[in-house]
Amino acid sequence: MSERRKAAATGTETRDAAGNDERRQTAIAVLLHRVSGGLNNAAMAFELGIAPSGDADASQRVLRAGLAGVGQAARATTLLGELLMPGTTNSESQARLSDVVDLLRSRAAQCGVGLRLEDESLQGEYGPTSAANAVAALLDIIAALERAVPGESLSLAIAQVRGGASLRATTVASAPPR
Amino acid sequence: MPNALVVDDDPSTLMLLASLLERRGFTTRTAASLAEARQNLDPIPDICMVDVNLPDGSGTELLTSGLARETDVVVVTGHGSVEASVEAMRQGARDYLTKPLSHNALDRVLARFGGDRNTKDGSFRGAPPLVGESPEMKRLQHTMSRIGPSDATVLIIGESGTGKELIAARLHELSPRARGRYLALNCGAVSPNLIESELFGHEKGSFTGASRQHAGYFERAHGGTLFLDEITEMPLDLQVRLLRVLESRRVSRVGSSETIPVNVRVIAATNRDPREAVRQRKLREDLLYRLQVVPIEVPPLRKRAGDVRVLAMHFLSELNRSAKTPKTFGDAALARLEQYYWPGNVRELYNVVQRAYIMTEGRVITNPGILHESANSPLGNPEAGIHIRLGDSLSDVEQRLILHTVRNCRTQDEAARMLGVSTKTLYNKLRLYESQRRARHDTNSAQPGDVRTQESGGDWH
Repeated sequence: MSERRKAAATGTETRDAAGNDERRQTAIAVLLHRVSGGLNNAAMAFELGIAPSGDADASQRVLRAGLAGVGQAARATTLLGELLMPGTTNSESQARLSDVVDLLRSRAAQCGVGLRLEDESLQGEYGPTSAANAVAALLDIIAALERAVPGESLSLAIAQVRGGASLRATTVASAPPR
Repeated sequence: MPNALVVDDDPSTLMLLASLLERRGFTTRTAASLAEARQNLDPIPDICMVDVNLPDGSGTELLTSGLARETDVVVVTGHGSVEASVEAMRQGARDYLTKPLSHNALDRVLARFGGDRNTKDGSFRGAPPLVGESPEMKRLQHTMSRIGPSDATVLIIGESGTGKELIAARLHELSPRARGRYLALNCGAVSPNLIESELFGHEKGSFTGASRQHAGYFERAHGGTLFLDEITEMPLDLQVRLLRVLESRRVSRVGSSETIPVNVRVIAATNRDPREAVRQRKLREDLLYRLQVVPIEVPPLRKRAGDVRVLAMHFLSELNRSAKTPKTFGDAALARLEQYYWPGNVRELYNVVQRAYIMTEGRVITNPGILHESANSPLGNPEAGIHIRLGDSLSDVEQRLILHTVRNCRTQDEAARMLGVSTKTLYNKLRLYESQRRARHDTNSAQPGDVRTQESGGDWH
């Protein structure tokens, strides 16, 4: 019997499908939150930016934050597009793994699971990747977070795959005491 | 100048929120996590704006730690966390805001702090009306109508929450300076290291971190009014400088010997007895004489007969108007408000009305939900005295008498004199009661099923 038919017969296929759906829902929620956060920041920045201010440096800083918010929302929308309609995003569009790491950090905190990068010295410079890779990494690590028990710690490593950089969870260990 | 603590894990949001508050006249501190926020609570901020989702927990945890009793906590949420905000209101948050923050929503929440009543072009935005029909308020309004148009320096004396800042703003509005700026500085909220440069300004390079020239409050209020709240919290050496500025009408920035002429009307305020403050060396006597050219005493709400009802209706009508709702008070709710002692004065009444308005789902507010004390509590009303029953322990009676006396005195010195003990003894007793109260509170927090009784849940300070 093929693996697929065996899974269907034992009911594990249904459970896997349900798990995948849940992961996708979680990913959609975190991406929407990211879009909303970026646009919220942009809205606040524009409100501050259009008001007269004697401090040119502060105005620049505020507008840069607004611009970053719009960029963050745009990148999250690309990932959302890739998640909902795989393959329809522009194949040239570059995603940032750092966005995925940010999303995962906040998700991990909500799950009570520690999350650390094996090479923190990269400081967000993980190399270019495709939207498809970024979404796949997001779903994989969300699954790993779901399997982890609160209090445990997940270790992430940067891996090079087709299409650019990706992330994989390498070890789950008890979190060091705070 | 009121101060705010902003807590959010997103650095851009943090910077933008802080900028929005600074534009409204606040000094700000920021924290990216609950742990950082807890380290930043000294001095206690006037307002704490906290995000719900933080890396090390929920922002509402600050509420359960008792912060809401000491400051106004405003919960700020992003997409989809409105339920958490309502829960935060139940736990004592003063309000909640959803992102993106609109001008109107932010101004509504910040209105009571009055940090900057000027519009962006620098002109005065106008003071909210002084509401009250009691003889005490009528007298106060009459006095203000006489003093307002003059250029006299004014000292406003009144308990916390009686509306001293509002009176200062109204005096400005009544004066020929109404077209000029009105600036407010809370001397107790600014670090002693910074207050000198805040008031008088500084030259570039005059101290570490002075990267540019800065015009102080006196210069910026030129042609208008400067309100100095909590004047007794100003360091004594600065009080000498302030006196000199009041006499000479000239200021010199920190790091400069050049003097700049300033035309500013100063209105100061204190919640202490100024004579007592002079005795305690908190206020220089010569400055007191200079400031209280005209003294104004603001009556506490408990002494304003009938005003609780008038104010409660006024606040509710304002809330109804802004949200286009038709909520009303039930008779029992109004009666309950009128029975209460209001140690936090009008500010506390506003908070109670706002909380009741938000928490009431129907049209009629039946329970005003006074959080900290029962209106019937003997501790709540000085006129009610304290009731001693056979079987009460001596230590319990002593505690109730001490707390009751402290409540009814302007200062702890006055209370100590009345009780016939030294201030140190009184202070030690109060510290003991506070630690017992905290221990009870922690125990109650650890047992969610517990119902806090009037005595154990009573917040007496």
